[in-house]
Amino acid sequence: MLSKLFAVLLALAFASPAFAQELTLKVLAKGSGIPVSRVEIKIPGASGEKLYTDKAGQAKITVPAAGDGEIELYRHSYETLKIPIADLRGKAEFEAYVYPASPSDNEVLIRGAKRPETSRKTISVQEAAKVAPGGDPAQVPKLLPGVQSNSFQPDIIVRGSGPNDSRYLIDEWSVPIIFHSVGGISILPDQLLSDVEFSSGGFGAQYGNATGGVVALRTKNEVPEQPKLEFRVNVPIYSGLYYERPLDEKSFIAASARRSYIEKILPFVLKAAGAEDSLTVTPLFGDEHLYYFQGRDDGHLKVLGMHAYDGLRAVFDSEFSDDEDGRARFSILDRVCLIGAEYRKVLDKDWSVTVSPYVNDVQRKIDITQNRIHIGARSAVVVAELTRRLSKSERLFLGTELGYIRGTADVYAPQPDFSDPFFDFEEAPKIKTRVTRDYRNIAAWISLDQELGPVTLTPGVRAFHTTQMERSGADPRLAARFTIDANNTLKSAVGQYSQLPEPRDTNPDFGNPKLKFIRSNHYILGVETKWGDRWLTEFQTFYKRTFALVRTDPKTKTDNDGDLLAAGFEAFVRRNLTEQLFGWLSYTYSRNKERDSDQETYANSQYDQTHVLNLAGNYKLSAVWDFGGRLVYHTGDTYTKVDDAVYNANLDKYQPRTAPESRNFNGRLPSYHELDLYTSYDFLYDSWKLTARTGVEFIAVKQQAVGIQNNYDFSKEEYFENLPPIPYIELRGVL
Amino acid sequence: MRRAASFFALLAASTWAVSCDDAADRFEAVNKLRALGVAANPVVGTAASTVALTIYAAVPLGQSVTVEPFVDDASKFAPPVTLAVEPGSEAYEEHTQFRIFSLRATLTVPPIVPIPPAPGFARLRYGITFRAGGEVEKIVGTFLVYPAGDPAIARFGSGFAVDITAPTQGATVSDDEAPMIASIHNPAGEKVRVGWYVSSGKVKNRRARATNWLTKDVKGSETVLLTARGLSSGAFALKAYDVNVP
Repeated sequence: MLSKLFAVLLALAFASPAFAQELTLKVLAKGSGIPVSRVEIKIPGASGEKLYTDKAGQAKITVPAAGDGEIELYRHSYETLKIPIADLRGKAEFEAYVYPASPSDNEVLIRGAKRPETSRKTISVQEAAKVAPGGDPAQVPKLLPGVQSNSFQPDIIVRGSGPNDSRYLIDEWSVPIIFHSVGGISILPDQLLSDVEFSSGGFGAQYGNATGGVVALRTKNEVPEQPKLEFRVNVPIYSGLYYERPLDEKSFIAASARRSYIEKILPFVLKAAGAEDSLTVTPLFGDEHLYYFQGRDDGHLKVLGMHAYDGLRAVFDSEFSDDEDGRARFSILDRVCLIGAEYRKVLDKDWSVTVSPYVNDVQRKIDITQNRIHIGARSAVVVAELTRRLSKSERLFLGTELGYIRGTADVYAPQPDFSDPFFDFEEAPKIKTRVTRDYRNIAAWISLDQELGPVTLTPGVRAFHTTQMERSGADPRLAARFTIDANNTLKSAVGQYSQLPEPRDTNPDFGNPKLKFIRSNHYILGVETKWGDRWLTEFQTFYKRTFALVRTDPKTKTDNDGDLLAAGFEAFVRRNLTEQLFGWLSYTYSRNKERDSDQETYANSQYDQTHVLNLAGNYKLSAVWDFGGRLVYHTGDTYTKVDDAVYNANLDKYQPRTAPESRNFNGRLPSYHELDLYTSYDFLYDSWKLTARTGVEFIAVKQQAVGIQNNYDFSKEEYFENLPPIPYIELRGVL
Repeated sequence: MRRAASFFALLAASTWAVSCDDAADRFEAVNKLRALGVAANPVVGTAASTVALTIYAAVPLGQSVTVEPFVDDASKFAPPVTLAVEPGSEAYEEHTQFRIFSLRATLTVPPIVPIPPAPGFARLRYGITFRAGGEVEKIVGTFLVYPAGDPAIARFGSGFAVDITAPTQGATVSDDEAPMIASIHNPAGEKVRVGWYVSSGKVKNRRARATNWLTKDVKGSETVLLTARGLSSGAFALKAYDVNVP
């Protein structure tokens, strides 16, 4: 009997399904290997209970012991993954890689609200890194309204003001440049950035010493989920390494280094282009960075240390040569070191403070034939701003900026004459000077954001003093926003903006220590309209008068007699960032006139592009493939026509002359256009991805004129043409 | 705002300028009236002195030069003075492909010339116009005035001279690249700017004391001319040779 029962049980045992198996499923993102949490796991035949992966991307699941079917993994922004159950049987652990989903156009990425500025545009680094020239975020202002630019130079002209009249910031740390002169890329890698902010005028009292615009690179505040190593190889310009690592949930550290190798490639390019064997051009640039961020519940601390350098050496047969071998030697080296910190703390429900101390060391060494200009400035600056919420509709800002600067100059060079477009540095008497000067710049500001129903007024004043010329001043400013309805806002700003003359202009050897501040009055009126979540338009008109501009004076070397009028209209049509598409159209109409003294009438300014049109956009075809481009059109630059030439017997050269009745910048190059296209593709591997970005720059109907060149005696004139279309490729590996 | 010129743009323009121009429109090609230089005696002077200037130009064969002094008041660095042309001083030195025209003129230094302590000398600007065959050359130059007894007067005093070591007078140049070598007697030891000229072909580097004459498409009797000037004093000398290119 017992044996029969045993036989039945044995038969039942073999006849029933096998025992179900427990398995640890780990879900990782394809291309990065990052664990994906909250992945919904659907197992066929299961009771209907939903399973999700945890923070580590793991979930324990029960694999049915028999039967066919597939496990399905769902997660927003990833492709649904199906895994045959048969593949899971007999395993205790299984790693599944989910692919990023095709981009959605349904979700507009909204950025946090910022302190309002009338003419500010904020571009996220995701957008800027795609469409900006060279894929470099800092160059994105070139594509925004109010800006004139030149393809060969990273400098920007903001509403008629020269490149040195704008202020460049990394967070609140002021730097003289944010671009490498040689490569044209920014001195901070895009991986360290979150946003690029650009204000073309009418900015608040917190910004001083600028009559043009403000370009601010904002460093990253988001703590990465896991360590990341990225290498970048750009052919033919540079390569770089970037590494970031979270230290805990709220802090991370990042380091990067970039170095050009164009100096290795350029000789071959020049040779292929038919350049003389005797031509040697060695451009180089590089930078290194170390960044620390610590987020806190009541603020943050960030510290950045960086070093950037640019150099260019050139040796070639030249008419300028004074040497026996008939060759001229140029050497230019720029170096910027910065150590900055930003500490922000919310003190209580009404008070918060931000303190940004920094030190920087800026050196420029220029050696051109027998001339030497070695200048440097070491600065220690503390910027602090206290914010108080006075009421629900009022916020008060109180700030100070205290700066100590030690400037050095070792110069053997001619006194430049910027009012003479044909200034001949060989003929001008040379000045030799070696000087060290200490001076202090201090500023304090107060401004108030006050909501009065639909109107927000921001009155402010910035007071300042400098020992550079022992002068003080105050700039009153007022911005107003009128919310017409939920979609339309009227914006305006009026204010005075002051700027220090360059140290060279107040140096007793080269300039006039009694110079005054350069001043500019800005008047702006515009309307911003939101067309749903996706579209935004903004139209602004501006009028700007900049006076007390520094000009050359035969008696005092420099004076404040110049002035500039800039007036125009700007249009900005923006397609907001979604996962799939973003872009914008910007158009600027402006007329810029200047004169060297009030005895003259206004004439064309050096920087006067009447029409500037930029169209930029990026479309993501799939999760791994996108393409985009830029179309640039602008009125040709101005130049001064040569009316006559004389032969200088002392120098064995011809010197151009203008007729007495001629004005500077009386000629204009033809209109300029340029199309730049690119595409990028992500090759996804389990734990890393390789992005290949390739494109062609300088596409045009024909080669565009970017300057004028004359023959040896100035009897003939022809256009200096742009580069032909140049393809490039950049590889980025993210591990 | 300061007006500015980018050093990089300047460099780009310079490099472009040295690499792109055709043979007929190069500085060294003497195919029309061309100013060559001005020799002063004495090389530098003092207030209230009289200076003899010899002004040189190259002119195509068969053409004659007419001259007219002018006041060059465009210089920011030197006040103008007027030259007095010596009547009958015009002379032509004949060569196989062009002639070298010279003219003597007198520069009278004013009795009172303010001399700034730095750099220790004053400058005077002169100008003269040459015309030949429809071409006009406006020649300007600077004469330096030192305080009486200044050592610079003796240092720059005399003896600046040039010669062409290669090719020599009457030589036959057979290679496509013929060496050109300048010999310069520069007793003051100042920086010297060399300027080569040729009737045809190209000079590889016209500012180099030793360079090459590119004669690929050149044939026949040609003229090579060397000029040199002291960049501190303005001392000037020239030499021209006729050579054969088979």
